Amino acid sequence: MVLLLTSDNEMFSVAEDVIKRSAYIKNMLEDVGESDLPIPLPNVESNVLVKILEYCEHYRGEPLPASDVDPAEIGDRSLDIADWDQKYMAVDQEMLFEIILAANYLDIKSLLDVGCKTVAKMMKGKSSEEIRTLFNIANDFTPEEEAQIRKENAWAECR
Amino acid sequence: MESQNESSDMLSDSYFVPPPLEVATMRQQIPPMMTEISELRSRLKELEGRVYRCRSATSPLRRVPPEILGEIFQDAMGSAAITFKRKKDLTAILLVCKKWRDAAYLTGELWGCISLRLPRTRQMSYEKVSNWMGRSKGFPKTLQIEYNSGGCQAMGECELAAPWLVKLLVDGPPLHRLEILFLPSHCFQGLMDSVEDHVDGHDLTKSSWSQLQELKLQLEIIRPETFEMGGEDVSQSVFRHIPPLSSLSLFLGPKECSKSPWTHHIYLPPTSLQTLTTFNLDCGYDGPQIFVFLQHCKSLQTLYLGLELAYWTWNPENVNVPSLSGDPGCIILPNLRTLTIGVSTVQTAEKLGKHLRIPSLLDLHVKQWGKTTDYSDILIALSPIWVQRTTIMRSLTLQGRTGYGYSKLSAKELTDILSRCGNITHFATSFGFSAKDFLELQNLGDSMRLLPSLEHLEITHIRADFDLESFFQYIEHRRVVQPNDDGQADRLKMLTLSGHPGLDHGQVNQLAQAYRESSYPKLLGESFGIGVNFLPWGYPVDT
Repeated sequence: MVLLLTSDNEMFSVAEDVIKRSAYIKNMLEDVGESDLPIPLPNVESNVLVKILEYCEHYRGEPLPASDVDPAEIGDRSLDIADWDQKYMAVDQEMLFEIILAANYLDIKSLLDVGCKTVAKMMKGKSSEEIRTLFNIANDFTPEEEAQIRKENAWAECR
Repeated sequence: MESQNESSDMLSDSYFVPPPLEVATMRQQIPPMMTEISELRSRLKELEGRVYRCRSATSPLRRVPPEILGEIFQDAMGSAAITFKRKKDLTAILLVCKKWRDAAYLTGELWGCISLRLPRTRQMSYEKVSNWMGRSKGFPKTLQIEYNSGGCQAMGECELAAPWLVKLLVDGPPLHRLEILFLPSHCFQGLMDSVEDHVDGHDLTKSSWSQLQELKLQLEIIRPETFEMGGEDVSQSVFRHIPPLSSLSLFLGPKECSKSPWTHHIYLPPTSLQTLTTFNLDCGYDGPQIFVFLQHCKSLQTLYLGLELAYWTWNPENVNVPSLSGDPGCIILPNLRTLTIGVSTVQTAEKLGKHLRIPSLLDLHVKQWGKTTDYSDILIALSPIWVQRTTIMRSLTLQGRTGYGYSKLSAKELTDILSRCGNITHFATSFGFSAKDFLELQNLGDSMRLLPSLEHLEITHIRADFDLESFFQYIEHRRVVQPNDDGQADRLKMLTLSGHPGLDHGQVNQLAQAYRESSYPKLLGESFGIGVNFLPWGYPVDT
């Protein structure tokens, strides 16, 4: 078993084969070897870790993806998300981004990929204003800056 | 308080008419109440704004680093090239906020691949296209052009040779891949002439054009005079400026007069061909031309030859193959691993079989669009290409027409084909066949097990009435009944069965029900360790 200590000081005891889906933990275990000391996770709160462990538990026993494979390299940019993953990601926005941040920190590539795809699906086809509203993003552009962006990103000019 | 309530109760009663003095008092109370409402509204708006800003500031989205935002943007944009239409989606991302804009500009993958339809009513800007693609930094840059020559003629000038494109091909950021589709050969000639003029004394080899790695040209109409002016003088060839490439896809459409035999040579510079590792040639006529090309392709690893329409002009006298290759009179492609051939006739297949040798072939994919002859005859005709090396070939895919009225193979034909395929480990076909007849044929006598080294069997484009039970029985039969010719156990590990993409909902259900009702998938898995991948909705045969 591996002990994990979250940022809000909660201790989790997790089976090694479950948490090894995290490349960060896997590498740490390989570097440090067996230890009774908990691994501190200062960037992960307990409620988020519970969710992360749910994912790792679900995929327990399945082969770990090759860490050096970039989805862009194999041209996999589809927004297809497996049914279970879709249900897993049906959380409020705050938790969704916390999962993405934790997956990035813990280096769980498949989970990060699902998180990114989920957000991408939410924003696909929306206008900038709709995206701002969706994600509570403040518009920090002046009208002149917006006009400049539009101008810079045209391909053609009026004949 | 009580009297105020009473008064307000009475006010809501539409039969109550206040006395004049009370009316005057009430009218005086309205303006300060309106002012209060206005102040409260203003306060509410301010508070909502503060809540919005607080929520925005505390959102974990703020902590998402630019590189993850970049991943999200790439997922949202997909891997296809950015078109005029899809550019709006990317601009929307840029306009969300400064952090998103900066993250998008940092994500080079978003900017490298653009797709244009030409001509356009508005003048393209070299600076703007160049700046856009320049944001991709070190990532490969691809320009796709879908060309409408009709529109070009309507505008009175060749838009393909427009200054912005010529400048991009000469002075622009180095392109990795260029695709031009639906291209009349004279327009391509015009583009090349303009590129040459623009360079004007400077070294063309230092231009963006010359740094291309991959080129795809789909030529619509072929005019013989564009390709060759007199014998083998190549100075006028439209392709003379093609640089050394790693990948070339050439789709040569029908020539203007398709009934007369083609006697012209199509010239491709040997220096361009020598470096090719991938060559896709779709040639609607004059098969022997391919040997003129292939003699130089010594680095090729992947070759596609689409010769479905080549049969009527194939004249072996046009090209003297032995003179190209010397003894033994064959073109040898020593490094080729994957070959896809599309043929319609035995005659075409015979010519390829006679003149082509691929000693290291691993994967063979044969397409036959028009079922004008037995498939096995075509394979027999092609077999000299690899027949000496069947021990190393690992995969064979046979693909018929993918429309719903697809071609069929008889059980005997399929058996004949498979008996010639040596030790391949993967076999796939989209042809229809009678599983029952096939099973019965395998049960005859003490026939040898077909494809003894087979590990993965794919049957695609199956129809609703495909006899799954007989097919599964054949798989069981391979394991249980047939004798091992070399004492080795059957190695089959995976079956892939996919429905024809043209099946309607009811037909898919019919197929799926037949699969559900069969006890074989479970039996094959539990008893023999054979996995069954069943896809009733289908997918295109792997190319």
